[in-house]
Amino acid sequence: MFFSYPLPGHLSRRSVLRHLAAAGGTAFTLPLAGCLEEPQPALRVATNQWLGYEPLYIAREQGLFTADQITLIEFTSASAIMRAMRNGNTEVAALTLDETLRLQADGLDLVVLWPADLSNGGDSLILHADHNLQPPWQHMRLGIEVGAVGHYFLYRLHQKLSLPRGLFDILPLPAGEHESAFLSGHVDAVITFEPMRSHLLRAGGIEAFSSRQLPGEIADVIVTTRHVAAQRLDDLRLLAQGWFAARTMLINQTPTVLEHLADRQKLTGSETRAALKGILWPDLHEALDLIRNPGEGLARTIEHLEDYLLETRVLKTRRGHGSLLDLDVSAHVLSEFTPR
Amino acid sequence: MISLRFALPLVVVIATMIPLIISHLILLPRQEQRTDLMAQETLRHEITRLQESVEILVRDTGPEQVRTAFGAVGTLEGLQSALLVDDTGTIVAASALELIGQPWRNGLSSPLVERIESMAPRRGLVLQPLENHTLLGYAPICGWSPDSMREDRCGFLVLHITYRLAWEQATLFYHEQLFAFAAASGVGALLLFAILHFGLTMRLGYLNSVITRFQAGNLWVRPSLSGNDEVAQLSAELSDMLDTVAENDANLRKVIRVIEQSPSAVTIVDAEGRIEYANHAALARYGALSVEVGRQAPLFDYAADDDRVQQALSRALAMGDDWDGELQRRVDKNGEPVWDRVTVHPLRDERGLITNFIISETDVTEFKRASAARTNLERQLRHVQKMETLGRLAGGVAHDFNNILTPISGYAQMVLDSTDPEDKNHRRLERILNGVRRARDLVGQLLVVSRKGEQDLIPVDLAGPVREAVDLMRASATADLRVEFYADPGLWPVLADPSRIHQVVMNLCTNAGQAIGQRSGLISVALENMIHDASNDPPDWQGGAGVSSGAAVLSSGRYVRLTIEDNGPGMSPDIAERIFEPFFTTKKAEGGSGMGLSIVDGIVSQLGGRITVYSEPGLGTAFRIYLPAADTGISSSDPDVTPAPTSPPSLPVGQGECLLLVDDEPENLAALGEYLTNCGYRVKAIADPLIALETVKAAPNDFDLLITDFAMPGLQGDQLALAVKTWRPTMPVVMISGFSSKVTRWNREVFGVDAFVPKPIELPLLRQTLYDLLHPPTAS
Repeated sequence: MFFSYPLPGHLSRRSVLRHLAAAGGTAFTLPLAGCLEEPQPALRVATNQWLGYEPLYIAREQGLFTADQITLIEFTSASAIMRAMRNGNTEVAALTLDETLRLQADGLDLVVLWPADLSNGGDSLILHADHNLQPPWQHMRLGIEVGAVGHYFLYRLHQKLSLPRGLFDILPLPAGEHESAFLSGHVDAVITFEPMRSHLLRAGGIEAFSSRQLPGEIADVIVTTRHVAAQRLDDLRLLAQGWFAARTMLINQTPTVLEHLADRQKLTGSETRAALKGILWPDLHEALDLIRNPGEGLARTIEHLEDYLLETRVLKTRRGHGSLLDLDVSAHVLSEFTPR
Repeated sequence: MISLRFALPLVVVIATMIPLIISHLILLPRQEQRTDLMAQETLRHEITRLQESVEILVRDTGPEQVRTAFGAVGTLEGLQSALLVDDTGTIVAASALELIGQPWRNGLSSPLVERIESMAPRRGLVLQPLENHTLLGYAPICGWSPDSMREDRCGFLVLHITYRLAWEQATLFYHEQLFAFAAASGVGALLLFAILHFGLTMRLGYLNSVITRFQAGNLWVRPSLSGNDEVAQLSAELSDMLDTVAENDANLRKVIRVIEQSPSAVTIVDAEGRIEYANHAALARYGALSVEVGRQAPLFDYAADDDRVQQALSRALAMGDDWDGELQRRVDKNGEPVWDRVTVHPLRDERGLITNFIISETDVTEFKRASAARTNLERQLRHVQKMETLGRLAGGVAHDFNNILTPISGYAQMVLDSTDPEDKNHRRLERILNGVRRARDLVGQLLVVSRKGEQDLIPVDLAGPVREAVDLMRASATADLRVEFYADPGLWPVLADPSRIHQVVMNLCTNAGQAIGQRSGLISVALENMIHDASNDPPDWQGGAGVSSGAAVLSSGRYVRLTIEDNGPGMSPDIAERIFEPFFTTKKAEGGSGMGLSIVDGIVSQLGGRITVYSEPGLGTAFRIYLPAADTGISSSDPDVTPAPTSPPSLPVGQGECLLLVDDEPENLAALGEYLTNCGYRVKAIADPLIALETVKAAPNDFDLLITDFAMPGLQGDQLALAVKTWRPTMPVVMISGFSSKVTRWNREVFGVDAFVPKPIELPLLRQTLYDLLHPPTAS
């Protein structure tokens, strides 16, 4: 023989073994890598039916995040939200500032991510139409959600209208029961908020006092614990991105968004537009400004709320806004889409 | 190297075991942790749900309703104990009814009590993992206080559950999964082993055996795996590849055989000229030692003998060019030089660099000899062609000249016959007739030169005429000139005209004697038998001033060689080249006609022989004449030769016989007609042979004799004679012609010609011939 011809290189035994080993390695490495990586559970966000939190649902509806990424839990009362936060059943909550301070007083290390909205008429005192619109409202059965913003509203109502203590017969009533209790006559009045406010007004209730008369005092915020803020930054950024995108749609009153909102809140179109006027949604810069400025914005509101909570002995000592408002955290969460 | 059929299943097993081990080390604890977290999450939701329910019931209803609602907690899976404690520390509801109303510390073990006491200040839910997959959950219960207008803690809730069963189920499920995975992997490994063994390893082994057999030299073996899978495709491709390899191998072997068996000596040398390969011819030519691998190629040794060759070769090799040339390598055993045609061709690699040279040496000695012979043959052929041309020219001139001489001769003879011998014109007329005879002789010589001269060929022993000529030469030679003669005994006969042979010898000997001149000299004349081999033609002359004439190629056979040599001054090659040309002479002053050797050449050529001359200035000249030996025996006389008519004392005259004279030349016709009429004959002269034919046909008995020319337009003389003989068989026919070679004996016999008189006609001869034919001797 003049020549000898080995097997083609790509078919040699050594080559076959090498390729099979690589394939085998890939076959068990890939699933293993999948097993080693623990799937991240969805970020839970607890809300109630307050109209001011609707951007969250609009964002979900618009596909700005999915249920696998962020799960919205809608409770029937703020108390339930606070309980979920205390018990660790949710990572993020949408609460009013006073509710947030109450939770903080219970030992939770909370931080405000961004201010969601300011109530500018969205919270109201609704009376049956057979009652006088003006005081005195002696022994009027008043339903409020105790331990929540309704309590602060009542406190401020007394102050604003110079009402005497013990004027009302207070009936603790979760927000989810406001409408039924009012319509059934179980209460004469109720301190409630949108969308129950619009429902009750449509049912013949009359509005005696509203948060329009307490400008800047009732603020809703998106809060979480500092631990979650550190661990779930990507999810929080996604949540914030969805929030502000949906807020823009809401402000622009995009027809499909309004339609969806009306369906969800069981409002008519006119009721929806009227209800939206009672809520102010700060944009990104306004939100950061509300957090940033000491002595103004949320910081000032916190001071007022701490006065109230100290007076009602919910708080034993004043903690100040420093622990709750942390611009670094907020800016970090909002930085992904903050215009630079 | 481990076999593939074992290696791959082993890889599969290992690949299975590794994730199993990793799963056991990493994933199982994580699974357990996940189970713990799931249990905690479940408990967290249950406590939260229970906490909310209890707070609503506490707000809206009394303790009984709370206790009733709390009883539902007993359905919680894995519940160990559940307590609802009021702000006084009394159990108001429990999973065990007997505990109601007791201090809460009585309802739990001490460790649990300590843990709960550490949780109690909290407002939120607290979960505490305990041993043996149990969990302790604590949640405060708050209620609305109208007095303080706030929610105050009014009790707490404790749940103690175990999730061992869920944990064990989860672990069991996990282990079952691992076992199933391992079992599936094992089965998979076995299956893979079987598939690899039967589907891959065995078949690859078969292909490997085919390759091994092929490599061992069995070029006809081919794989024959069926199917459409990759191995079958590999088999088919391997088969194709082996076909190609076998074909290439066969071609390569063929190429190697071509090189090995090449008659040329082929050597392959490296860039420095060292031998890497030598074929059989090179080994045979130089010997094994001279072309040993690593030695300098012999070419460079013997090229070094020639500076010019060596420089050219070195320059070509340095430039990377081909080189070819002829080199005289050595001399053969006879001392003759041996020539090689050598080519040196560089071999380049893919980068263009010269790696080797191929040297091919071919012995071209025979070729060179044959080439030289061919050159000589061509020169000889040219000479023959030239002589043929001259011969045709001379023949044509002779024919026409004869026709011109015929009326001159005729009329001069007529005038002479009618002139008184004493008349001064009688002598002038005789001189005219003498001039005509000399002209006739010259024409005769020209006809010989042109190979058209008449020769009566008979088998002749050349010794006779040659000896006669030699004797005649000796008689006329001076005392200083010696003429020797030798003849082989038993010479083969030659078909020739003895008189012409005599003429040849006389011409050559006379030339030799004149060349020797007054000096003493020797002329050798020899006759020898020889057998000629055409492959050695020309037989015996090389070098010097060699010229040959006669037959271009002398075919193989028996020959008689006539050699005439002298030791005279010889000839230069220039002269030797031209000696056979008519009218070429170096003896103009001595009155040489330049026709002697031309005649010799013409005679020899007519006999189918060949003449060669070798002359060297100062040494002498040798003529060799080769005449083919005849197959027949020697005749003492030629029966076909017409005996020369014996002339009567006076020329006979006619007695009024009627002669039919036919000649296409009007001058000839008129002169002959008048002459014959004067001689007493009645002459009917006709220029057109066809008219003559019609005339005879019309009245055959009117004519006593026919005289006809040979070459005539429309009808040749022999054909006319034949036709006349048809109608008048007894009529004598006399043919006249200036082209005697065309009028052969065959012409005369077949066509009934009774006598032939050549042109220019010698009138007395014609008169005597006519008389003889018209007056044949009677039988008595």
